[in-house]
Amino acid sequence: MPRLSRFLRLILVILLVLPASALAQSTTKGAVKGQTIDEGGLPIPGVVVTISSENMMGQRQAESDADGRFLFNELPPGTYLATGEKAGFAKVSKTGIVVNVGRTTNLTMEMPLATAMEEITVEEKGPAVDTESAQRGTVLTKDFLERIPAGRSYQSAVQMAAGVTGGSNPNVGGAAYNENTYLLDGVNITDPVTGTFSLNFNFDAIEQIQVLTSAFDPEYGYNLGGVINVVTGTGSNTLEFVTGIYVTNGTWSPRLDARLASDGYELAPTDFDSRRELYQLGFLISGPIIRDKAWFLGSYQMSRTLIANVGIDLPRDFDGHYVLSKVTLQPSSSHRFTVLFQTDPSTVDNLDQGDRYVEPEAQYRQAQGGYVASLQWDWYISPEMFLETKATLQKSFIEVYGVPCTHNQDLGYHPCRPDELENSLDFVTPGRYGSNRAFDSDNFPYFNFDDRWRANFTTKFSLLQVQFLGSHDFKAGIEGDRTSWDSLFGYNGNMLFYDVNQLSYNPDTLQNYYWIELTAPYNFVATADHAGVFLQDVYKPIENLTFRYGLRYDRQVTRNDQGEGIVDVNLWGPRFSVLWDPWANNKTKLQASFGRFNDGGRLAVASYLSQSGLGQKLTLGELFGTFTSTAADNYFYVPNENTNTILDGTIAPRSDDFVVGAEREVVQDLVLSAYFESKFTRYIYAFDELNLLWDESGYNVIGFVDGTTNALFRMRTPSIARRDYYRMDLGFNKRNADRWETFGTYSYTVSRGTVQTGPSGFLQVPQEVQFYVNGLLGTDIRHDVSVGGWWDIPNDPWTTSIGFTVMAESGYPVSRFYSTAYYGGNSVLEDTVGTYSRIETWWDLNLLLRQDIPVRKGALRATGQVTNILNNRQGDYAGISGDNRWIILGRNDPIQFQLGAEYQF
Amino acid sequence: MKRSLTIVLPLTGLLGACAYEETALNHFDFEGTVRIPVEAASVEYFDDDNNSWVVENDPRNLGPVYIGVFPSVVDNLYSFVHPEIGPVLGEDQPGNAYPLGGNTVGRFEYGCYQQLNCRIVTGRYTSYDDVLDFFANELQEPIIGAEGQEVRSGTEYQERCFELRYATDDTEVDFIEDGQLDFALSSDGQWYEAETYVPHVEYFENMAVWGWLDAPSTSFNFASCDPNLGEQIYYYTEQYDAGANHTDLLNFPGLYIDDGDWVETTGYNLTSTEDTFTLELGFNYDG
Repeated sequence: MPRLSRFLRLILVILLVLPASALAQSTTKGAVKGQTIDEGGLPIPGVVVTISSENMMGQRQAESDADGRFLFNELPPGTYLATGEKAGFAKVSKTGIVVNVGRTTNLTMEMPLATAMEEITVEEKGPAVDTESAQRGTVLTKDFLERIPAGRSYQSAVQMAAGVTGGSNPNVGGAAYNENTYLLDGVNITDPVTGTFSLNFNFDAIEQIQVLTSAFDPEYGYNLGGVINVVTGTGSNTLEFVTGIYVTNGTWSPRLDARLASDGYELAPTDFDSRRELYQLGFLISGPIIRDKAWFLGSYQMSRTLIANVGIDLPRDFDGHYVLSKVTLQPSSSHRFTVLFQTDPSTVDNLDQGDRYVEPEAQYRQAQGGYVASLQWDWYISPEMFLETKATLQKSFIEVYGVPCTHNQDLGYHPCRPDELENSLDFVTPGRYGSNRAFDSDNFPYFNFDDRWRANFTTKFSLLQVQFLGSHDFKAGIEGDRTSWDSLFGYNGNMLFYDVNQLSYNPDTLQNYYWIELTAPYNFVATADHAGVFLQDVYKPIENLTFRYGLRYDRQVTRNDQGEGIVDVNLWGPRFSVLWDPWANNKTKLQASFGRFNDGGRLAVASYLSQSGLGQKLTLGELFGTFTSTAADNYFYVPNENTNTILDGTIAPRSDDFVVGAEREVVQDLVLSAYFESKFTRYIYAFDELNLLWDESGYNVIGFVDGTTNALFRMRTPSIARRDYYRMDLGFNKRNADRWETFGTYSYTVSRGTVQTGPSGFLQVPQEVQFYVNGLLGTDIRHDVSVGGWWDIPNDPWTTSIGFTVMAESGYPVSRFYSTAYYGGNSVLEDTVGTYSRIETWWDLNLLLRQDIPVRKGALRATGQVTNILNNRQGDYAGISGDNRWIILGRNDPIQFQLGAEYQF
Repeated sequence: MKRSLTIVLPLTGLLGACAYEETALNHFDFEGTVRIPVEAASVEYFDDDNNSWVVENDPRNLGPVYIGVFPSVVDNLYSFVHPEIGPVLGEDQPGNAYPLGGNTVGRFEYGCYQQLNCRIVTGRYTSYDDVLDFFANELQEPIIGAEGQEVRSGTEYQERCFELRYATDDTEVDFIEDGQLDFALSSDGQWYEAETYVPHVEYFENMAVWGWLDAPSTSFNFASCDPNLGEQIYYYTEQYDAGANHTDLLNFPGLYIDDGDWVETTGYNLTSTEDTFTLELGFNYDG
């Protein structure tokens, strides 16, 4: 038999022989594992342990085995009560058992003889170190999110995890912003095109946020970055209603003197300012439909944001409406069904507010949003067996078009003609782009209607506590995805004018320079099919030694608009971790992990390789002198086909991640940790330019291979497209104190890379430039510190809470962008490593003060937050303009004040 | 056997995952050496102290060297060896040479004064003062600032670059360290030599490497650079063009080679993908 066949046969044998298996918790739930012992520490078999919680329907019971062990798997996150009962022993109750998503809580129930005491109640303070978990990251609970000043933004909150940096789509573990997986109640809501988050959440409905940065199990992993899993509440047997309003204002920041004008041409007065306002209004209602059988949760949140950069009167206007509805049914103790629906229709008007050279009628609107609907079936076959099945349909859309006209001139948007209906859209009048400081006018030039779909089916089976040379928790699962991208793109009137005025900036003196005729709008549909299977085991040969290992296989085929399989990859992702608690007392963890993480790419890849496009014909205007505008003098013609190609045999980007570290509970509930991670990412999707020949530094073109001036791109995954990443984390966490918690991490990161982003990023550079991407974890050395805490001050009957965070991040290098001779854009970075400027070091202090006031039938809550105090970034959101001037564009994270009021019963 | 499964499983996964290999490309980087006669760097200037004209070999006089890889070279098109060309389609336009790859030794760098457009070549100067010295004392063409005065101080030059380009780091102006000239004098003192390479070239057997040095004219202008091309820089209401080389230097090299330029004499045929080339730009074109 050929060698390869033997190898495949071996794998098949392994897959068949190993029982389908699983870890104790899923992507939306946690577990409690424990042991019943007597006062001498000997196990007590046959104890009936009952567990209950407000967050769980009914209660569950388990009987401890011969070793006194018991297990409750798939528990909704929350706080639990556990009771142990056995004849001859005192009844023991443990309160305050915290179950977090994706975590296993260890519980020891010590039961004295009944003669000594009849009933004992103990407040549980679970082990501060999870000695069985390998995954790096954190879980942010609802209580925590309410007590720290994160501006009611989950994106801000996740920044506190070590290894997370960047903006609302963060860089996690050195990966690009578009290489994370975003989950809502375990449902993948990552945008299938861009790899960014595609759904806005209702903040009040969030129960927990799980942030995984590395070393996570195969169950999670089909990406190069982190996993951000938002788990929403389910309701309870108690009717609950919460409504609130929050107002955030960043305009109140102290004004700054401007050294340079916002337009870059003359000194400005000192009293300009930017505008930044956020309004949130919402409510949440939850409760029982049938006690312990059916619960509901409904939530609505309106969010409006007004942002105007320096010197701009008309603000960008974002209006979002987020609706979440969820019904949980548990017809019997063995079956639970969850139906989830979330939608977030939003519009953004006046998106060009950053450019003062855009007339109101040439502004544009972006409508965006979508929905996700999922049905989940949980089958508790036995305490040791669990089956989770989920079907999901998600749609997200982005629509871009000229802002509708309005008769309300106070809005400042596109004014309607007297005979025009309010909100009329104009797809006929061509737009006019202004070049060299002429104004954009007449109409917004183009439109784009873009729909993205994801259909997913997942099933996972867990088999726990299998005794074979120790204890095993097995889990296996399969999943299938179909994603598609349906995009319509065109220009209004199939025409685009360019106006140029190089002499002055008076919009009245516009002159038509040239125009482009375009073919009719085009529509393309790209699709991707993905199937994944994983198998993992948590193996404990002895009590204080844990092996977590598993294997993930993914197959993905991405097709362009012609149905051609442009990327067809088979991906293997092995994971292995060893965890050792040397003194077997749940106070110490030593860890070593390895994992390979793969990325099959997103549909953005397909767009670059789609064959649809717009044909163009440039005609020169009268200012070209002897040229005329007849068809015979068309300056150039571009056919409506795409010349981009892909190299056959393209593989998929992958990261090999190594983690070693230790955690130790040094005093009661105070944990110190130290971790080192190295991550090597290779073969990132990149574009290879085949036609242009460059000078020695990649500044200027000196020749064309095919004799034409066309740039011919070929996508491939070259070895040069890589990132090397090293990070050391030091952390502390003091928790389980009665009324306070504090935590902090320090991360030192060294990274070196040639490309930051994945499929939607370009390695569109001359071959001469070997290392060219600086900053934001491309090529970078940085220090990150985040410290925070909260304190509940008893002030009966009121409760006052104080929370704080301090964030600091060292600056990072950025390449200087100058227009290149050929592209005239930012396609090429002209500076090599070591010849850069830096983004300055920044830090900020954020405070929260909350007052809970009991009132009749409920409670009032007043919250005040001040974020970005002492923030050195507030005035320096600046950049180099197109004309190479350093200009202040707006406030980067200005001091913001947030006031909120809530009522709940 | 069961115990071994825990080891075999991750190992088999690792082995399977390590099976990736990037598909081989028929593109290669070719390394080589470019040699320029010492006299190509000669510059004549008037020595005020001795009241006489002096000829010196000063590498600051060297223009950029353009290197291309072509299907072949021929010697019957011009008075120098030139790449083979494609069909001639217009009366005033030569045929296209269709280069397969290319690179330069030195490139044009905008010098922050419009007067220096298309006159500063990277790899030749160590500092702002070095530039001022060359133009003032050897070319006898001192740099004149925006106010019409002679620029004498490197600091003033630096400040000008900061104002105009926001160049926060001197290395952004691409100076070289002392002794790091890209061309080094050969052991026999007859040549300036530079190591170079041509990246990412699709290989065909016996393809030819060929190149030339764009030498400055008597007014220290370079035919391969156009001061009206390239990046546009605004300084308040003034506008400058940074100046840049033409984009078709390897497609139509015969258009740009003019008096005084130095041209490769034979072309170097690459016989394998591991071949290293040597170019000797020994032919001095004199029109």
